[in-house]
Amino acid sequence: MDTKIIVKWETQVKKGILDFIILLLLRERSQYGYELLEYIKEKTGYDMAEGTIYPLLNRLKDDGLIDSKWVEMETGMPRKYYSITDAGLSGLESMKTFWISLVNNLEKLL
Amino acid sequence: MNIETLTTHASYIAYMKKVASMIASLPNTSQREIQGEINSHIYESLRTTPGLSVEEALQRFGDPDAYLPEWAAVKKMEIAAGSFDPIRIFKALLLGMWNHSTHAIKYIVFALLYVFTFAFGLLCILKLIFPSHTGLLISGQGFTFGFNSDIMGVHEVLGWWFLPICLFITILLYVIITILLKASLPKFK
Repeated sequence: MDTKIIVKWETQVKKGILDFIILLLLRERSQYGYELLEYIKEKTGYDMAEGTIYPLLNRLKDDGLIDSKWVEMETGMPRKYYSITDAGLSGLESMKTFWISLVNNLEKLL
Repeated sequence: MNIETLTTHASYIAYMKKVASMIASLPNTSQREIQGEINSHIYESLRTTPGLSVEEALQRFGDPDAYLPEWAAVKKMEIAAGSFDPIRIFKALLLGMWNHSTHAIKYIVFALLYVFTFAFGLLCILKLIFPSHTGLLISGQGFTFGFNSDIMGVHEVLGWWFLPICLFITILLYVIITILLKASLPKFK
């Protein structure tokens, strides 16, 4: 099969679960945009155009799953820290349940 | 790299100029919010990656066309709904439908609700032009609230009271729908 198709499919899958990944990583600790992005790359190997994470973060904020606040730094530019909300933690539990069920079902097919 | 070196770099200035032009229709606070987030990201990128040039950092961040339209659309919608200005809301809904694909269906639903609302406003105009064809029209078969071209055997019962009633319904629906639209949006800080 054409490798381009596979690469495209992999990108779609990763893109589709990016919300889930962000919530999982923010559950560990509050992070600013760049830090979060680097963490995503490190944990998932998903290399995306960096700016695209911000509309996604704003969307998660739309849904009340995360919150943000600007923090002034002693040196350098202020950072906007994102943190998971109670609704985000609750949503994450539902996502986890769905994910485990999906993986189990897929494993039966593999 | 320090802040001054970054903010005076030609490529950075050109990039931020493009960003500024794309978000120029947003209020200053929203513009500062978006620019602040980009500034912070590029700065951190250069600070933590030795040898990375400003051009490379900007390339990694991506072309503003790839991420700004969706970002700006939500902010614009929030401002429009807060202003209760129908023209702003109309423009923001159009922008949202085109650029904010994940919420496009929601914006289409709101647009249809506004069309329904303004239909009552239109009835006021029709009442002025066709007073006997517009209103609460009662006939042997039932009634019509609105316009009817065939008024044989039909009589209109509200008279000119139809105008304030329609206006009241229009304003009430407009306010309710706009409050719902505002409530459905994110709370940007």
